[in-house]
Amino acid sequence: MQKFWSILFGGTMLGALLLFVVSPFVGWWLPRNVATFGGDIDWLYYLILIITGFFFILTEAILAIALWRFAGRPGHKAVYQHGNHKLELVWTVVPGVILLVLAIVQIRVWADVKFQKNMPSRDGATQQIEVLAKQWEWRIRYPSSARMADWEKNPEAALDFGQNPHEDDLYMPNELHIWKGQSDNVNRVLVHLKTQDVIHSFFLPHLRLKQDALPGKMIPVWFAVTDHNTEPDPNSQEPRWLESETWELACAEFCGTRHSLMRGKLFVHKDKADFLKWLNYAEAEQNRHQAPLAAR
Amino acid sequence: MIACWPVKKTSRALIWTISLLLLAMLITGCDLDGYPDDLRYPSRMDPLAIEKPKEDASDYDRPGEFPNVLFAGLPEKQRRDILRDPSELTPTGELIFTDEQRATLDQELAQMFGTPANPTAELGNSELVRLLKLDAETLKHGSALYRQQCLHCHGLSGDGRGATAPWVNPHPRDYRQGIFKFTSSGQDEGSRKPRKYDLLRTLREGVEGTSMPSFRLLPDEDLEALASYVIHLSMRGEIEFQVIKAILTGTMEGKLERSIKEDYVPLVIGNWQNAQNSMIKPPTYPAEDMKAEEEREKYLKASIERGFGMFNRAQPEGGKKSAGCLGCHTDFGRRSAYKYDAWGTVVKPADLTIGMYRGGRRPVDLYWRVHSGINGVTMPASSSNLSPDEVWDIVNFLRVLPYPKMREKYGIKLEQPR
Repeated sequence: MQKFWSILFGGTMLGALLLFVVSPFVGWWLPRNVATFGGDIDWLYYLILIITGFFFILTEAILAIALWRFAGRPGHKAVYQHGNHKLELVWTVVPGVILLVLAIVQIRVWADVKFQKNMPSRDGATQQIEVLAKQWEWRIRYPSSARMADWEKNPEAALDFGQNPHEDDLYMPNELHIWKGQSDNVNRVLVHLKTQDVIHSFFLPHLRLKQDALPGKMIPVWFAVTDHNTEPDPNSQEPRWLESETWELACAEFCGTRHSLMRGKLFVHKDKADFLKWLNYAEAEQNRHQAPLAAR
Repeated sequence: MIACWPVKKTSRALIWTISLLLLAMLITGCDLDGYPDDLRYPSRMDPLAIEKPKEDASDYDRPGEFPNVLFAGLPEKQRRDILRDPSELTPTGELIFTDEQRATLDQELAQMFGTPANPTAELGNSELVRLLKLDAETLKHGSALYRQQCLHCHGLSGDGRGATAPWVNPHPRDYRQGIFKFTSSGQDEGSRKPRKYDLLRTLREGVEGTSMPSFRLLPDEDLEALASYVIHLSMRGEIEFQVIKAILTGTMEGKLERSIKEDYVPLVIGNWQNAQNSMIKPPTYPAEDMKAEEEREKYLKASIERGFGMFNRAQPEGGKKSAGCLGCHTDFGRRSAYKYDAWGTVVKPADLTIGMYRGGRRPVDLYWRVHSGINGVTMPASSSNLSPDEVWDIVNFLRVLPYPKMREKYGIKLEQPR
């Protein structure tokens, strides 16, 4: 019975490992990647997973074996061990070196995603949106179609979008609409991320993108997508997701009681024309001088 | 097997307790279905705000103080007169609202409105049930959703005293007074109820600048059920409120049961019914028919100038009207004084220079706000003073006020905030 703990720990770890191995086959894995930089991030993820996974199994196996081998036996006295200087040096230096290697390897990807100098410019060539997080919703501001048309003629006019809301900008809670662009001319989206109250985190799992929103700061975030998930709905003015392409926007930083319900939908339109069709519809709704008859 | 664990007796007890707790959590799971069947709506115990004072409030309440600070800052006597406690005593030391009366009221309410798990609207008015979708099935669905989405702020009985209520400001709406701020119905203030459409708009868009989020992602039938359930809670709460208020103020006539059935129920549900088909339809927006850009610009320029003038005049001058906005929206709302509302909390007239509109940012929303005011707060209706076109002038002015480039374009000077 003295071997109980080794069986418990060894068994639990074996179970966890098995669960991990089967999870990709039952759909408990990363969602489909649709970001241009998503492949690089996934590559880093797998690299770290393999290294940490290897050492995890190694150390847990040593733990279970040691528990089994050195379990207390009646009549046996424990031996006092001061330690092993060489061994300690090895398990400090080896992870240190691995960490250093990882730190160097990831610099390029980090710079690509997070460095401001690598982000799309704030002029008219970029799709710009402002995302205001609050407990518990995402309130998103889009430039109006008139403002976007003006940017095409005068790209400089787009520089102040983040600081300067216009009277005709569209405000839309919980719906993030972008368009795909062509393969030779990707649509690079620049998000001006703000929060109204506490810390939130802007998380697009399909884009492998996560960024904290901090009170009092405007943080730029960029991404570009490689596929679309939205089509016009023949029965409604509002577009709809393609079958089984449910791309979500979620809050990834615990922000209060309703944190788990702080969600949004990511709509990626096939092209700019489809996006503008939606924008025009949503603008007309926001500019109503008469009440609609239907109850919505 | 566990008996021979190499651990002490006390630790063994601890391990047992923890494992049993974990097991219990696993078995019961997370219950998303709705309230337990034996739960009843609580009988109202908290004070009733029966009047809205005219005085300005001296200060806002600090986080965590609500709801113990209703009408704080008012002289004690005045506060006692407008914040009535249901457990008030007569000079001879008896309850004004007796236990017997309370039991009768609770029983009548339970008969009409059921329980949280099985809400009903047995009001003897099938037309209203159809109009507002208050059938038992919709209400049950709405109640289960309400428990997930709304309960933590708006409370079990819709009292606006959920767990988070003291920590968010403005505080969640208390439906039990039957007052909702943002409405489009044409009734008189006092009897004005929202159209169901108004509640759905608030649910879909949220209330910008407050803690009320948008529920846009819920399917339409869920929103419809939530709005039905909110109406149910509001009707129940208001009948309770009106009856207790009448008893405390000594205006209750005749037998309680008769009075509830024949006076208060028809009053409350009648107002809800009347509201539904009484939408204020703004007359055609003057620029609607103007095809030429030039013509529209000309109208806008003149309209904004008129709106600015009416907003900015404290008194009518030389035949020109004042809309009376400055009385509360001092310095365009940047230096507004704190006010009490009908619920006893402290609110602040909107800062109109930041472009944040709680009742919605569509021109028609602003039209309704200016035309009929905001219920439960000091914002009055302007319809007796302003013509529809003049309301549009104010709306046009308000829509450009927050934007520096537009102010420049239309010649609106906004001094630095003092």
